[in-house]
Amino acid sequence: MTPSIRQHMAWFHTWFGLVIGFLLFSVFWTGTLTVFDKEFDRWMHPESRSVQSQCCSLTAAQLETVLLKVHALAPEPANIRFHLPTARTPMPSVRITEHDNTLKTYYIDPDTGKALPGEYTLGGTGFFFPFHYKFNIAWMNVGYYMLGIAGLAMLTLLISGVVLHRKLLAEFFLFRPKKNRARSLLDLHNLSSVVALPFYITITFSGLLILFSIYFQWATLTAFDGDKAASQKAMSGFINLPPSGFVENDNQKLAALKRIPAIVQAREAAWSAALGEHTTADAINIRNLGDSNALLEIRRVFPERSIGMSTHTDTFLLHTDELLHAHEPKPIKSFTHWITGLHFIQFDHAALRVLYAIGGLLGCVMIHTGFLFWLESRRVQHHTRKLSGFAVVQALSVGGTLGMMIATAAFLVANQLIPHHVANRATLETDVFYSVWVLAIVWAFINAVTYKSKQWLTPTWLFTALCALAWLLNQINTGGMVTALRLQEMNSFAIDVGLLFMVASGVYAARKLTAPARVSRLNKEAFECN
Amino acid sequence: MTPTSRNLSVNFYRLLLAFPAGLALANLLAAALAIGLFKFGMAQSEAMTLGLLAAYLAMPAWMLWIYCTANLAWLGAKGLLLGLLCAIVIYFP
Repeated sequence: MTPSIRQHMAWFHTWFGLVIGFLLFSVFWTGTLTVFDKEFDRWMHPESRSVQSQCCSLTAAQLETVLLKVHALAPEPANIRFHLPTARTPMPSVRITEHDNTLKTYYIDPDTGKALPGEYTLGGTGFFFPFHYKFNIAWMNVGYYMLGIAGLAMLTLLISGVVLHRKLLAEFFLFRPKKNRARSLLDLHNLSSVVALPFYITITFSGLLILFSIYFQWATLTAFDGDKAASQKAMSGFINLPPSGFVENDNQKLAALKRIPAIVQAREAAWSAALGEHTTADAINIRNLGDSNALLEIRRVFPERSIGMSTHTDTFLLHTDELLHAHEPKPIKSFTHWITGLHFIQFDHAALRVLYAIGGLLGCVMIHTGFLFWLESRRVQHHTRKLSGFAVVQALSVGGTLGMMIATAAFLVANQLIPHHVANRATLETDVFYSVWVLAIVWAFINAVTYKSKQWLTPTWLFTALCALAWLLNQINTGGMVTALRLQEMNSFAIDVGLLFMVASGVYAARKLTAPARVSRLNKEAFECN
Repeated sequence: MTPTSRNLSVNFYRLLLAFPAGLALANLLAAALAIGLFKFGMAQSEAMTLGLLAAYLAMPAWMLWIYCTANLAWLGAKGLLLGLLCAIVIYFP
């Protein structure tokens, strides 16, 4: 007999969700952390909090100071990218790419020209953010494709979930914590799925749309007759002028850099006049400085008072000030920028950002309860038939979900404990993250195979203790919440509040886990065995 | 082989087929729509964006459809037909 569509969907939802769930959890967890990536940057790099410029624009003199400092730091760069100050990053940050592709990052005080090396820590923007969209795997775009599979899987799982649960509205109001464990877990899984369903669809679809140039590389190239430069110019305003080979001397380079502030101010004035409101550039890109084909890009990527991620980019030939291209997206492209802007959440609205974080955490709950329901509904059956699948899935669930959370907390603790002067300190921090994650997975496997109990309780306590330790170390090292309040430094204050929330949640969950469970004799036997 | 394990293998084969086939069809659709709309006078970047949006919306539905279709020959025939139509739009001068 041919299975019905719902039976197909049930199999798909159960088994595919189980296989891909670990990947999805890491995307949701790091995505939730990335909502506050710049806040993590401040928390993890306390010295950067002290560099304060007038928010959120630079005077021509300040911009010139920054540019000259960059020239002193890297006289022969391949690419320089500035991010001008914003409320969340109250100082200019600079990323310098050398010709051998080495990358240096700095925060620069626009008043004194003092440069703080960004190598101190990768922070939120350098670690959580790339983990969210490519799992920090750069080789052959493998990370992007893994994310693509996870994103498409999420969309298909959402569709199959909706097909499966016909009483969608009823499940919104249904949670029976006093029922048996499997029933309660399914209720919680359904509830966390339905309550944020529009959020999950939006965030997954917009996430996939951002990376169209990777997943739809063939289609884009084909539609533009194989002309990559034409497709880049039309789709994102990117112009790639190859170096002429004519190298300019140091005085010519300095003269070119000193002209930039005036060009930026002129563009900002032109944008403001066109839009009828004060508009500032948020990023400046200089490519091939020193070559006569050096390009200057002035971007207004994330206007703070707008959801849409803009790609209004003006590209100049630096040495002649000639405007080569002023990229203005057309209506359909602007619509996709609005959708991707929903994903990037760079708009100036703190309450909405908190809602995004809640949505992300609900996603984590949805995935985690999915695993738990799979385990609980098979516990007795697997125990009776002596199947090993239960132990494997349980170990992967513990390592893949709680293990990742523990690794995150350990990453923050390492950030507080590793001394300032240690070489490659940022790499050490990430080593701690990956080592702890691997150890958590190994521990979970050993525990599952040897039928030890407290599979969930020990990691929960460990996560809670590490969050508490990270919070405490920040209070000792930097003065923590009191100093942050005194200096009106709300970025790091927000992370401290988040850590306290995690501690409270961890304590609550651990107390629930220690409460005696009401289970049948067979279930109890299986519970003790597994 | 028990019926359960046979079902499991068949379902996994279907899943393995659904993802790359869905992505390939979506790429074809995006390119065909972009070229078709461009020929009808739409700006190239707009036509491409619209093609991408349509392909993104179609892709998960296709994947589930490929996964749920029991008859692989019938599925292959329909996939080939769609691919052929798209190829005509893309490559026909």
